[in-house]
Amino acid sequence: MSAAPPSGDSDSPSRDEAGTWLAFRVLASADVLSDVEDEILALAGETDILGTSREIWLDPASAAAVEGGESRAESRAGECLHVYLAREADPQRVAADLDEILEARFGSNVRKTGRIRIEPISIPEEDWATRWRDFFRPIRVSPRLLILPAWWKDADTPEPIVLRINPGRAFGSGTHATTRLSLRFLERLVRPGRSVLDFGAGSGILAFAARALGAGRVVAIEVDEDCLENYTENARINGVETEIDYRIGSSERLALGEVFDLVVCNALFDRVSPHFEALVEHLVPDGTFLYSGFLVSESETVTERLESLGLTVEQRENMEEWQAAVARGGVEDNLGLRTEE
Amino acid sequence: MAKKVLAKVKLQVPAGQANPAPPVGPALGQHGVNIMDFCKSFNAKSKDLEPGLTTPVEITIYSDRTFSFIMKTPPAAVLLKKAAGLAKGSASPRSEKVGKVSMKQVRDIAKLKMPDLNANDIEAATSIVAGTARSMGLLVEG
Repeated sequence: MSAAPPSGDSDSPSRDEAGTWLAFRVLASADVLSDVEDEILALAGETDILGTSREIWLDPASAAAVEGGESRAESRAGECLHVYLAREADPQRVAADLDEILEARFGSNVRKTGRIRIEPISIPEEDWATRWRDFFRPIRVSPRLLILPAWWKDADTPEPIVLRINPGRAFGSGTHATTRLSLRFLERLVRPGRSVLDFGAGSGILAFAARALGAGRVVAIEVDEDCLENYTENARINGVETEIDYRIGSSERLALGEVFDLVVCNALFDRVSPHFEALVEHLVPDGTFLYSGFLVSESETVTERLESLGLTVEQRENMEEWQAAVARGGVEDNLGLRTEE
Repeated sequence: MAKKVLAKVKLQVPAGQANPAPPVGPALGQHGVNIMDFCKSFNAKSKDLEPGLTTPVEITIYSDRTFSFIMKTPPAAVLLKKAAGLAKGSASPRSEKVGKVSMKQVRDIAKLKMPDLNANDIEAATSIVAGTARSMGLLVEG
């Protein structure tokens, strides 16, 4: 993994440089920064400004550690504003826009007095989604189930079931409450030899767990093809690459008459709810539908939706502001050709 | 024991559309936050807003790299531009008026912004938003 600092200074931002994002770093006192931020955001969406981030370092010592000991001026100053430009942005034009709007607000000599300083910076492209892996630690999901970072050496653990995850672009590392809720329910619901469908599989973590808990046939479906690489790596690490049928696509990737004893789905309600009919059609009669990925505040809506499909919600569990629900049902005449392992 | 706060990051993220690209990626990645977890949580909580609406979010990052966040109302300038049907504010707001908004629109925005404005009542909030409108080169009518 790259140890490069997130913001490498450069004399001037160059355009379309492969693998580099352009940004401006704005330095000013905290109250002025607030106003600058407002002004810049009024511009966002009409220029090539993607957005801003305002950072307040509350702990310079930890900040220095994060930066690998590298000292950055704003870490000490406490606060700075980053303005991120779109890939195709012309930095000169955006800089001119910024000048114009700041002078309109703060007067024509604001840059000269040094009240507001704007520095162009370039940010090397890196896989930001995986940068946090330095901080990924073992997660004890239950007395039986442990998630370990793929590179973790210590294998001497009391938990009989250990899943190893190399976190990447695919969702599902075990840190999110919805993943842990799903895992805990899977532990109770997976019966040896029974079939499981993981819909919205991401990293594959729930499919791995199902398999480790003794499930027979396991199919995993994920709509985002960018997840495939991360899934493949994790399946290999867990030694299940030949045991799980991972498909890129959506409910249309299920064959007519292909049914499951248990369907698990951990995805946001708005995204996945339109597929619920199809999923229920692939559930055996009296099958189990485990759904997580919704907020406690959405519980009623989710219950109504599940019940409208002939399912009965039997169990719920909350973690932080998230909930998981276990429903039972499934259609009787789904042409189900129940497959036994 | 309360967790130690490492940093606070303020971001502007389109409602329901957070992804690991800038500004989310570099801003949170450098502090060791699990970005996919953040995106999932943010998209769930902003789903009732108009998709893509610029939404300020303030993220508190703790020393164990867990995080919490609060969402704020969209910036007044963004809402005013939408109300006026404009793409851009005026570069020289005193001399050049680029559009207009009605007093009712200003008041509606003030109502929405009320929780985040330093105002005791709706009248004070309305006058703050009207001031923002004028500073953008918008004529407030009515």
